[in-house]
Amino acid sequence: MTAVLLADGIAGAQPERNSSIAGRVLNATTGAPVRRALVTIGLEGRDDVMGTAPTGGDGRFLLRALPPGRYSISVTKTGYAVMDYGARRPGGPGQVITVGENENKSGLIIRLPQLSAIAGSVVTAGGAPASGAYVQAFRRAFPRGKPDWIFAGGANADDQGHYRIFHLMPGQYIVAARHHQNAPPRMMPPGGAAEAEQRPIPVLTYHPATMIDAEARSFELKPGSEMTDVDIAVQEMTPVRLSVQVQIPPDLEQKFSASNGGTPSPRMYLPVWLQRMGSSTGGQPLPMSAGSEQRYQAQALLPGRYLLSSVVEAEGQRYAARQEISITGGQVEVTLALTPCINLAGHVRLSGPNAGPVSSMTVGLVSGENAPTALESAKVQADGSYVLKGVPPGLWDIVVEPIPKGGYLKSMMLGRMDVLTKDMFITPETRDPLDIVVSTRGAEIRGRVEEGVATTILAAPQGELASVLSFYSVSGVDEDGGFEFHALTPGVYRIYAFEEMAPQAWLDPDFLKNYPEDGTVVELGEGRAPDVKVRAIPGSGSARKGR
Amino acid sequence: MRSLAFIAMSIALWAGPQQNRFFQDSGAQLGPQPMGSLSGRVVDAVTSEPVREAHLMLYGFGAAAGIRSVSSDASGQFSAGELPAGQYQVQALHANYPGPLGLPQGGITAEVLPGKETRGLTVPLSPPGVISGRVLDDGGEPLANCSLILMQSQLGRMPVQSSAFGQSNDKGEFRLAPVAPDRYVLQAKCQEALPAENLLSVVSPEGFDPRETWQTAYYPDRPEGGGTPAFSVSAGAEVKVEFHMKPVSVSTVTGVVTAAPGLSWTNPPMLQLLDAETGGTVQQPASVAMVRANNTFRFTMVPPGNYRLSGMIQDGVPDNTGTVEMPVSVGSAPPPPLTVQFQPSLTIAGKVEDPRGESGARESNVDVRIITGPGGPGPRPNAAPIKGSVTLMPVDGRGMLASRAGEVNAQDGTFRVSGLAPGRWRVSYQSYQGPSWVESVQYGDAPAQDQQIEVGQGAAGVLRLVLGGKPPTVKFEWKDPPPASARGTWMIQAVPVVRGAGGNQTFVSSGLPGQPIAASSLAPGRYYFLALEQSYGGMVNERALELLIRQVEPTEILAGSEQTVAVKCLSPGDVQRVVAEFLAGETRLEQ
Repeated sequence: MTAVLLADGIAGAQPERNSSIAGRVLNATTGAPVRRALVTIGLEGRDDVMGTAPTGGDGRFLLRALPPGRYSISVTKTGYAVMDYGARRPGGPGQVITVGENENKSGLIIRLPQLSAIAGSVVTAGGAPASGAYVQAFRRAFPRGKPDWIFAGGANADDQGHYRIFHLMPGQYIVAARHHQNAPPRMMPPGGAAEAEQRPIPVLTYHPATMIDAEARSFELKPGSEMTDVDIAVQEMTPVRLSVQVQIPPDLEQKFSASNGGTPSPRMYLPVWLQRMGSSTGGQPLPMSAGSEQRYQAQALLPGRYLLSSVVEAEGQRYAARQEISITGGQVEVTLALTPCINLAGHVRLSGPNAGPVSSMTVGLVSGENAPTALESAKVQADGSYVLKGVPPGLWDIVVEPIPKGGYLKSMMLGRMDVLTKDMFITPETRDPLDIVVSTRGAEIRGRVEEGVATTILAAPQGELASVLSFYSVSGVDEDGGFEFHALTPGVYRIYAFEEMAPQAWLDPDFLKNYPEDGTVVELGEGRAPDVKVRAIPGSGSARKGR
Repeated sequence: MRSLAFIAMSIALWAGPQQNRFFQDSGAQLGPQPMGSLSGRVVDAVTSEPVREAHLMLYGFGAAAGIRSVSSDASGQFSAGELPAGQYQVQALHANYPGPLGLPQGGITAEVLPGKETRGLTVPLSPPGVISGRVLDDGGEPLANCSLILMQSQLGRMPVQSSAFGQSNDKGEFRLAPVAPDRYVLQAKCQEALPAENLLSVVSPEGFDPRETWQTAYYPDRPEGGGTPAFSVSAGAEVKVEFHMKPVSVSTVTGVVTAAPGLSWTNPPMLQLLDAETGGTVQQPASVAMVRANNTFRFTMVPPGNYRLSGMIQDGVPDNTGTVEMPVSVGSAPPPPLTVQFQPSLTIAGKVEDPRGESGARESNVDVRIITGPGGPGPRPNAAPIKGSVTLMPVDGRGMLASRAGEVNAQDGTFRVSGLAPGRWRVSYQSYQGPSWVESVQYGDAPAQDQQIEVGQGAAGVLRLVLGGKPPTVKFEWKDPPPASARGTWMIQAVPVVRGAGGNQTFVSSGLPGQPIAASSLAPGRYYFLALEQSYGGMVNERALELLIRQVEPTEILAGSEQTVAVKCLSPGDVQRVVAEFLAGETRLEQ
């Protein structure tokens, strides 16, 4: 029974609007009512139809004048995680509510988890408050299916060296502080002042007092809590004398001097990004100069492998350089050669019934290695062709939007290489086209939980496709234990019915290893598969296993 | 740091006269004396903890003339060697220890003996103030992410100015430190759309318009009537402030933009809604909107009040601009959609008449060459020599209007100033060919009072500037000179009574009390004359100057004659006293 909601001002048979939904919003930790929260109601299947209501002093809300229909409800308030009605955890799937004619549903309870804070003090190596130090909090996550720490928030230490990072999601955290006591690293001429500059300088330090990220002390931040005394004693180390020379191709040099009024620019400052490989926590920009003069910087860098990259734009043409280097200390000299960025071109094809025009689609790239370059998406032309201009070398994830409703990304080939299931690596020599096929007819399957009570259903691809994160899908369960999946990539899947599952838990590669025999195997082709009955996995309601 | 900038400036000013004086006035040159040295520590005046990495300025007096600087190390220690014997003022500067009103802290006096080391000096730095507190909602719950803006109070002719920013955390707490001792107004603003009821309906991608937000709050409270409240922060004090925010309804103001015939734009113009009463002083728009491709605009989160809608076309072509200014009143309900018409900006033609004849007869004929940056216009072919520029500045700080200028042709004195909107403008003239002053300004038929003209919508009149003849020479004499043993140079400041458009040129001369002072030429007008000891007041900032000018009576400099002006000397003690009275709240803030 779907309500037909006509646009304002159009005469026609309007359904009666005399149903309502009432409920209360409570703090998930303390149970106290949450006032001034925003309750938003949305009509199933319509992105453009919604209504809002505030919560009063007692946490109560009333959504009035509703036509009968199927709705979803979500609640937001600053300082709390967003919660969908019926979800067990923030980010988890919510529950659809069916409202009949002249029905006043009441008693809905939504528990909002309060976000958490980390606070502490930062001191310099000499014991003085490190006022102005920038403190960052990183949360454990698996953004590309591998364990990593992602930036969750930051704050500056005040004049007493105290900092507080707040509005953080619960999870496992490490904290690091960066302090520039003096001016940013000074440029030094070769030789001469070299010895004088060997005095130790502050290095990115992890709580409590280590510069090695693997030794950072991690801690669990529970919902609605604060972790205090997360202190950091900034360490110092003898700096590495780093010299990065950026070599500019002659045509770029011409463009720079043209914009300088005809005189060649004696020293061009170019942006260079330095990232420690295997760690997302220590990336930093370095101001570097191009030119024949050798100039050194004192940088506090731990031995290890690093990625140096630079991207420069001049008159609409992008140039980039990317190099992996190994730093062991002492003096390091690197030459980065800027080369023109390639244009990545290809075709997008829509296959399957009801394939509409491709010209409303876009193809975009997102760096898979935290490079700070943002690329503009390319519009797909009427004939399916597109060109991504100026793509710097590196690891890139492909984003194709919008995938037609019910459709799926069928194949992505860079020349003869499958970049759907494998990483795509672009070099300055890449010439192959990137051809993409999107099918309008994804796999569809409905089912019911027959035994036990489950709140979250996970469809996990098996075999070769198991490594492609975007193929995993999660569904909630309605009042009758029913669930459905749309737009899945055809293949073999295991359907798991969890009593409870933390959002994105499957990103942790060890997670599913806890359930080797569980789940129902189905083989999905394009179109609707036969309905399936599943069993809730007993004992899967406790906290995430494995980590 | 502003005070450091002043120091750098004063070093440049200082070098010349004093050096000459050493050889001129001391008659026989002093025989070479062995150098001495100074050493000591910089400490926090309250905790006695060392202050690391402070910057020390050493002002030598008399025979030891000169300025030197050193830094204190990690334990607050400093030392300076190779110093000529004599008296020194040792001042310490540190970003975490701002002095009152942003002035440098006085420091101590020390003596350097020939061939000896003066040890154990202690230079105290008075700790700054701190402002801390909480921002709470009407239920006593903390409000996070509210912005706190600390503003220096209005003082004389200086308007309210922001000086520090902070943000409240999840507990509603904030902390502003270090705060220079001064008088302030603190503003708390929580830019959050409060939840409201909207019945289920079809919405645009922008969603529902906000209907309620938190009312911007001030400490001290804004009074209903006139008067300018402010609170004092004294050295080492912690001022605790708690804000209890109240909700206020807001409206969305929409409308459409049109252009007068012949006017068009390429870049969408920006519109601002400014508070009708305070828009000129606090200069923060209540709301900003970009005009969209279909020429509509939308201001959201506008609380009830009286506003001035102000807009400007900025396509980078100075001659083709347009402006609009109109009053907008917002009550408890939003006003009906507005129609806002941009009018083309006006151009005024004018002439500068110089009684001293053509440009060729002047002392120095400066050939001004325009050096253009990348992307700018190329060098102008056949450029006429320029004699100066005429600048028009909007009076009463209207909206986003910037000052407009036009170059004056050296041959015939003509100029054009374009990009003007109707309203009041102050006219000033900057000469590129030696000092000059404006005797009278005439616009159309009427003479301009205080060099201000009223530009109307229709055809513009001709703007005529008549330059004065040779500016009068002003001689100075010391009034209440400090005792003969006083050290150091004194800087004479001439502060115009009417704050000028082209900046406040104040320093005119320097000298030693008891010695004759070099004369200067000054444009006729009313001035406050005062002299400040170089080490303390030579770099006194504009804010402190507003207090100091109240200690003297204005003097009128008349055209055509030679005058002698008595210059009142204000010692560092006088300056400290005046500042202390101000901090104690004994000084009125208005002009």
